[in-house]
Amino acid sequence: MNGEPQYDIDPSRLPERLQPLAEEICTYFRELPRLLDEGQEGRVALIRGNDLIGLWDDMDTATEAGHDQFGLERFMTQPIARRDYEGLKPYFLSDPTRATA
Amino acid sequence: MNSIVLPIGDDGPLVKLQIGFPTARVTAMRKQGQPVPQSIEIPALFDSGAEATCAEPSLLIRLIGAGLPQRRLLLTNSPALGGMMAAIEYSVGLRIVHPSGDPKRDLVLPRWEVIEQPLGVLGYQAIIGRDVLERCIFILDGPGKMFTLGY
Repeated sequence: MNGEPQYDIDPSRLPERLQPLAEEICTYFRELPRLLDEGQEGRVALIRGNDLIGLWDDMDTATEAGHDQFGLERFMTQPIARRDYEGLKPYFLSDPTRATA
Repeated sequence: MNSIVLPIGDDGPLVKLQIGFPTARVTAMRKQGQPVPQSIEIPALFDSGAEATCAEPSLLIRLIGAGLPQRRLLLTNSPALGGMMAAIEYSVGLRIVHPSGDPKRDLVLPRWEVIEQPLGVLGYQAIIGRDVLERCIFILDGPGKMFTLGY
């Protein structure tokens, strides 16, 4: 045991309100440590399901790229932020005290 | 300039707010022959303490099911609702309904962002925040128990 918390990155752990983007939120949480290590904070990730499609410099161009690739289908354009990792941790902690809000 | 002048109710300065698909999305859906769901109409509170406009998630379900575009995940701090929580921001079309019933006098925002937030316990179903108020003149006349929105 190294004391690091264990995460169960499963869409079903997210509350009902977040289910419309549950897969994308899981993908974002999974990729976030690497993106932060690479210095990508502030850029915008285009995510569809389990796939990180790419990174853009602002929301408008990321959204435009999403519409170009996916038309009217679902995708997420997410500004990369370190605080999101801390905020999402409680949802995925392998611990019964995880967030439920 | 149009204006809305209404009495301040027990819950504060409330208006009728319509939330639907962004105008550009409606155009694209019509071009593809897809049905466009009707907007929802709900009571909304003007709140200069709120940074962004929020709506009760249970009311958005029908629009979400019909493909209301999601933009991103946000971490929101709502002390009245229990503190920090994750929420989804949706792209919508907004319309603040003028009490005259004349749609030409409505405040129309063809593409806007709304955050889903559970508000049911508060007695209204949406909060209109500073993102909208910054485009308007808002006067709250406490002694006269009236408010005015100019736009």
